[in-house]
Amino acid sequence: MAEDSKRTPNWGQTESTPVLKLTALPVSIIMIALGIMTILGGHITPGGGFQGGAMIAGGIIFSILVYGIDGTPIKLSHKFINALESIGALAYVCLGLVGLLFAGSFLYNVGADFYNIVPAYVTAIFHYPDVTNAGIVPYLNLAVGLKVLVGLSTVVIAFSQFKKLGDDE
Amino acid sequence: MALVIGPMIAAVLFGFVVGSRIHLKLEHSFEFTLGAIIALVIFAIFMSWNLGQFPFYNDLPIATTFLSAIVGILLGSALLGKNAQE
Repeated sequence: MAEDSKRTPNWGQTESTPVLKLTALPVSIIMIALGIMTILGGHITPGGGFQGGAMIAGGIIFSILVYGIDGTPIKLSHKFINALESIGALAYVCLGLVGLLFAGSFLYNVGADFYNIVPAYVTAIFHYPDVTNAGIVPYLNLAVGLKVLVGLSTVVIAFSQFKKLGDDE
Repeated sequence: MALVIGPMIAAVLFGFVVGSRIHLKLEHSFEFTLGAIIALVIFAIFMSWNLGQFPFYNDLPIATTFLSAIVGILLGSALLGKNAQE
Protein backbone atom coordinates (compact mmCIF):
# COMPACT_ATOMS: atom_id res chain seq x y z
CA MET A 1 0.00 0.00 0.00
CA ALA A 2 2.84 2.32 0.94
CA GLU A 3 4.56 1.47 -2.32
CA ASP A 4 1.34 2.16 -4.22
CA SER A 5 1.00 5.59 -2.69
CA LYS A 6 4.60 6.31 -3.63
CA ARG A 7 4.03 5.30 -7.25
CA THR A 8 0.68 6.99 -7.60
CA PRO A 9 0.94 10.63 -8.62
CA ASN A 10 -0.46 12.99 -6.02
CA TRP A 11 -2.77 14.92 -8.33
CA GLY A 12 -4.24 17.00 -5.55
CA GLN A 13 -1.03 18.71 -4.49
CA THR A 14 -1.55 21.77 -6.66
CA GLU A 15 -4.76 23.03 -8.19
CA SER A 16 -3.84 21.89 -11.72
CA THR A 17 -5.88 19.18 -13.42
CA PRO A 18 -4.36 15.79 -14.36
CA VAL A 19 -4.56 16.75 -18.05
CA LEU A 20 -2.43 19.82 -17.41
CA LYS A 21 0.01 17.88 -15.27
CA LEU A 22 0.46 15.21 -17.93
CA THR A 23 0.95 17.61 -20.84
CA ALA A 24 2.78 20.55 -19.23
CA LEU A 25 6.30 19.07 -19.15
CA PRO A 26 6.38 17.84 -22.80
CA VAL A 27 4.90 21.15 -23.92
CA SER A 28 7.51 23.01 -21.85
CA ILE A 29 10.31 21.01 -23.48
CA ILE A 30 8.90 21.75 -26.94
CA MET A 31 8.63 25.47 -26.06
CA ILE A 32 12.23 25.53 -24.84
CA ALA A 33 13.43 23.85 -28.06
CA LEU A 34 11.43 26.34 -30.16
CA GLY A 35 13.04 29.16 -28.18
CA ILE A 36 16.52 27.81 -28.87
CA MET A 37 15.63 27.53 -32.56
CA THR A 38 14.41 31.15 -32.55
CA ILE A 39 17.65 32.34 -30.94
CA LEU A 40 19.83 30.50 -33.44
CA GLY A 41 17.88 31.77 -36.45
CA GLY A 42 17.59 35.30 -35.12
CA HIS A 43 20.00 36.86 -37.61
CA ILE A 44 18.07 35.79 -40.71
CA THR A 45 14.48 35.27 -39.56
CA PRO A 46 12.07 37.13 -37.26
CA GLY A 47 13.12 36.56 -33.68
CA GLY A 48 16.44 36.70 -31.90
CA GLY A 49 17.90 36.63 -28.44
CA PHE A 50 15.11 38.37 -26.55
CA GLN A 51 12.26 36.57 -28.29
CA GLY A 52 13.87 33.15 -28.01
CA GLY A 53 14.87 33.76 -24.41
CA ALA A 54 11.30 34.81 -23.62
CA MET A 55 10.01 31.59 -25.24
CA ILE A 56 12.37 29.48 -23.14
CA ALA A 57 11.35 31.40 -20.02
CA GLY A 58 7.72 30.82 -21.07
CA GLY A 59 8.31 27.06 -21.01
CA ILE A 60 9.92 27.24 -17.58
CA ILE A 61 7.16 29.51 -16.24
CA PHE A 62 4.45 27.22 -17.64
CA SER A 63 5.96 24.33 -15.72
CA ILE A 64 6.16 26.38 -12.51
CA LEU A 65 2.51 27.47 -12.87
CA VAL A 66 1.25 23.92 -13.38
CA TYR A 67 3.38 21.96 -10.89
CA GLY A 68 4.03 24.69 -8.36
CA ILE A 69 7.43 26.04 -7.35
CA ASP A 70 8.24 22.99 -5.20
CA GLY A 71 7.03 20.35 -7.62
CA THR A 72 8.30 21.74 -10.92
CA PRO A 73 10.60 19.42 -12.87
CA ILE A 74 12.54 22.44 -14.19
CA LYS A 75 14.37 23.78 -11.19
CA LEU A 76 16.70 26.73 -11.68
CA SER A 77 19.01 27.01 -8.69
CA HIS A 78 20.48 30.29 -7.50
CA LYS A 79 23.96 29.23 -8.67
CA PHE A 80 22.66 28.26 -12.12
CA ILE A 81 20.81 31.56 -12.55
CA ASN A 82 23.85 33.48 -11.35
CA ALA A 83 26.18 31.65 -13.74
CA LEU A 84 23.98 32.01 -16.84
CA GLU A 85 23.25 35.69 -16.15
CA SER A 86 26.96 36.41 -15.68
CA ILE A 87 28.04 34.45 -18.76
CA GLY A 88 25.40 36.20 -20.90
CA ALA A 89 26.34 39.68 -19.68
CA LEU A 90 30.09 39.04 -19.93
CA ALA A 91 29.80 37.61 -23.44
CA TYR A 92 27.80 40.64 -24.59
CA VAL A 93 30.24 43.15 -23.07
CA CYS A 94 33.30 41.26 -24.36
CA LEU A 95 31.90 41.13 -27.90
CA GLY A 96 31.24 44.88 -27.66
CA LEU A 97 34.73 45.57 -26.37
CA VAL A 98 36.33 43.74 -29.29
CA GLY A 99 34.66 46.27 -31.57
CA LEU A 100 35.83 49.13 -29.37
CA LEU A 101 39.38 47.79 -29.36
CA PHE A 102 39.80 47.13 -33.08
CA ALA A 103 37.38 49.56 -34.73
CA GLY A 104 36.91 52.33 -32.16
CA SER A 105 33.17 51.70 -31.73
CA PHE A 106 31.48 49.63 -29.07
CA LEU A 107 29.62 46.65 -30.61
CA TYR A 108 31.10 47.21 -34.08
CA ASN A 109 30.38 44.10 -36.13
CA VAL A 110 33.96 42.83 -36.32
CA GLY A 111 32.84 39.55 -37.85
CA ALA A 112 31.29 41.19 -40.92
CA ASP A 113 33.53 44.31 -41.05
CA PHE A 114 31.56 46.27 -43.67
CA TYR A 115 34.01 49.24 -43.57
CA ASN A 116 37.22 47.19 -43.78
CA ILE A 117 38.79 48.75 -40.68
CA VAL A 118 39.44 45.59 -38.66
CA PRO A 119 42.50 43.34 -39.15
CA ALA A 120 41.73 40.26 -41.23
CA TYR A 121 42.61 37.79 -38.44
CA VAL A 122 40.00 39.37 -36.11
CA THR A 123 37.34 39.17 -38.82
CA ALA A 124 38.27 35.53 -39.40
CA ILE A 125 37.77 34.75 -35.70
CA PHE A 126 34.33 36.38 -35.42
CA HIS A 127 33.09 35.60 -38.94
CA TYR A 128 29.83 33.63 -38.91
CA PRO A 129 30.28 30.92 -41.54
CA ASP A 130 27.06 31.09 -43.53
CA VAL A 131 25.77 32.92 -46.59
CA THR A 132 24.35 35.83 -44.58
CA ASN A 133 27.74 37.15 -43.36
CA ALA A 134 26.09 38.08 -40.06
CA GLY A 135 29.33 38.50 -38.11
CA ILE A 136 28.86 38.77 -34.34
CA VAL A 137 25.05 39.05 -34.42
CA PRO A 138 24.37 35.31 -33.81
CA TYR A 139 26.81 35.33 -30.88
CA LEU A 140 25.11 38.42 -29.44
CA ASN A 141 21.77 36.64 -29.84
CA LEU A 142 23.08 33.70 -27.78
CA ALA A 143 24.32 36.03 -25.03
CA VAL A 144 21.05 37.98 -24.93
CA GLY A 145 19.06 34.72 -25.00
CA LEU A 146 20.89 33.44 -21.92
CA LYS A 147 20.27 36.68 -20.05
CA VAL A 148 16.60 36.93 -20.96
CA LEU A 149 15.79 33.30 -20.19
CA VAL A 150 17.15 33.53 -16.65
CA GLY A 151 15.93 37.10 -16.13
CA LEU A 152 12.28 36.41 -16.93
CA SER A 153 12.31 33.05 -15.12
CA THR A 154 13.79 34.69 -12.02
CA VAL A 155 10.93 37.20 -11.87
CA VAL A 156 8.34 34.40 -11.75
CA ILE A 157 10.39 32.27 -9.34
CA ALA A 158 10.75 35.29 -7.04
CA PHE A 159 7.02 36.07 -7.19
CA SER A 160 6.10 32.46 -6.40
CA GLN A 161 8.49 32.52 -3.43
CA PHE A 162 6.87 35.75 -2.18
CA LYS A 163 3.48 34.03 -2.33
CA LYS A 164 4.90 31.16 -0.29
CA LEU A 165 6.30 33.62 2.27
CA GLY A 166 2.89 35.32 2.49
CA ASP A 167 1.16 31.98 3.04
CA ASP A 168 3.60 31.11 5.84
CA GLU A 169 2.84 34.37 7.62
CA MET B 1 22.12 21.06 -50.19
CA ALA B 2 24.65 21.53 -47.41
CA LEU B 3 24.07 20.56 -43.81
CA VAL B 4 24.73 23.54 -41.52
CA ILE B 5 26.42 21.92 -38.51
CA GLY B 6 27.46 24.94 -36.41
CA PRO B 7 23.97 25.98 -35.22
CA MET B 8 23.13 22.32 -34.59
CA ILE B 9 26.08 22.03 -32.18
CA ALA B 10 25.11 25.34 -30.57
CA ALA B 11 21.52 24.06 -30.19
CA VAL B 12 22.70 20.83 -28.55
CA LEU B 13 24.92 22.79 -26.13
CA PHE B 14 22.20 25.33 -25.31
CA GLY B 15 19.67 22.53 -24.85
CA PHE B 16 22.14 20.62 -22.68
CA VAL B 17 22.58 23.63 -20.38
CA VAL B 18 18.83 24.13 -19.93
CA GLY B 19 18.15 20.39 -19.82
CA SER B 20 20.65 19.93 -17.00
CA ARG B 21 18.06 21.56 -14.71
CA ILE B 22 15.17 19.32 -15.80
CA HIS B 23 14.43 16.39 -13.54
CA LEU B 24 12.15 13.91 -15.31
CA LYS B 25 11.24 11.65 -12.36
CA LEU B 26 9.20 13.37 -9.70
CA GLU B 27 7.59 11.33 -6.96
CA HIS B 28 4.93 13.85 -6.09
CA SER B 29 4.10 14.80 -9.65
CA PHE B 30 4.45 12.02 -12.23
CA GLU B 31 7.13 9.91 -13.80
CA PHE B 32 8.24 10.84 -17.29
CA THR B 33 8.84 7.31 -18.58
CA LEU B 34 10.96 6.04 -21.47
CA GLY B 35 7.79 5.60 -23.52
CA ALA B 36 6.91 9.25 -22.98
CA ILE B 37 10.40 10.31 -24.06
CA ILE B 38 10.14 8.20 -27.25
CA ALA B 39 6.70 9.70 -27.94
CA LEU B 40 8.16 13.18 -27.40
CA VAL B 41 11.02 12.48 -29.84
CA ILE B 42 8.60 11.13 -32.48
CA PHE B 43 6.40 14.20 -32.02
CA ALA B 44 9.48 16.45 -32.26
CA ILE B 45 10.56 14.79 -35.55
CA PHE B 46 7.03 15.25 -36.93
CA MET B 47 7.02 18.86 -35.75
CA SER B 48 10.45 19.62 -37.22
CA TRP B 49 9.29 18.14 -40.54
CA ASN B 50 6.33 20.50 -40.51
CA LEU B 51 8.52 23.46 -39.54
CA GLY B 52 10.46 22.81 -42.72
CA GLN B 53 13.98 24.07 -43.39
CA PHE B 54 13.72 26.83 -40.78
CA PRO B 55 15.87 28.83 -40.14
CA PHE B 56 18.33 27.88 -42.90
CA TYR B 57 16.54 27.35 -46.16
CA ASN B 58 19.16 25.28 -47.96
CA ASP B 59 19.81 22.24 -45.76
CA LEU B 60 17.76 19.19 -44.74
CA PRO B 61 13.95 19.45 -45.10
CA ILE B 62 13.54 19.47 -41.29
CA ALA B 63 14.20 22.12 -38.64
CA THR B 64 17.63 20.80 -37.63
CA THR B 65 18.22 23.29 -34.80
CA PHE B 66 14.85 22.43 -33.21
CA LEU B 67 15.60 18.72 -33.30
CA SER B 68 19.13 19.28 -31.98
CA ALA B 69 17.73 21.36 -29.12
CA ILE B 70 15.38 18.50 -28.16
CA VAL B 71 18.32 16.07 -28.24
CA GLY B 72 20.38 18.47 -26.10
CA ILE B 73 17.60 18.92 -23.54
CA LEU B 74 17.04 15.17 -23.21
CA LEU B 75 20.80 14.50 -23.00
CA GLY B 76 21.29 17.20 -20.36
CA SER B 77 18.36 15.90 -18.38
CA ALA B 78 19.58 12.30 -18.58
CA LEU B 79 23.17 13.09 -17.59
CA LEU B 80 22.82 15.98 -15.12
CA GLY B 81 19.09 16.08 -14.36
CA LYS B 82 19.50 14.34 -11.02
CA ASN B 83 21.26 17.44 -9.67
CA ALA B 84 18.09 19.46 -10.30
CA GLN B 85 16.18 17.51 -7.66
CA GLU B 86 17.10 19.68 -4.71
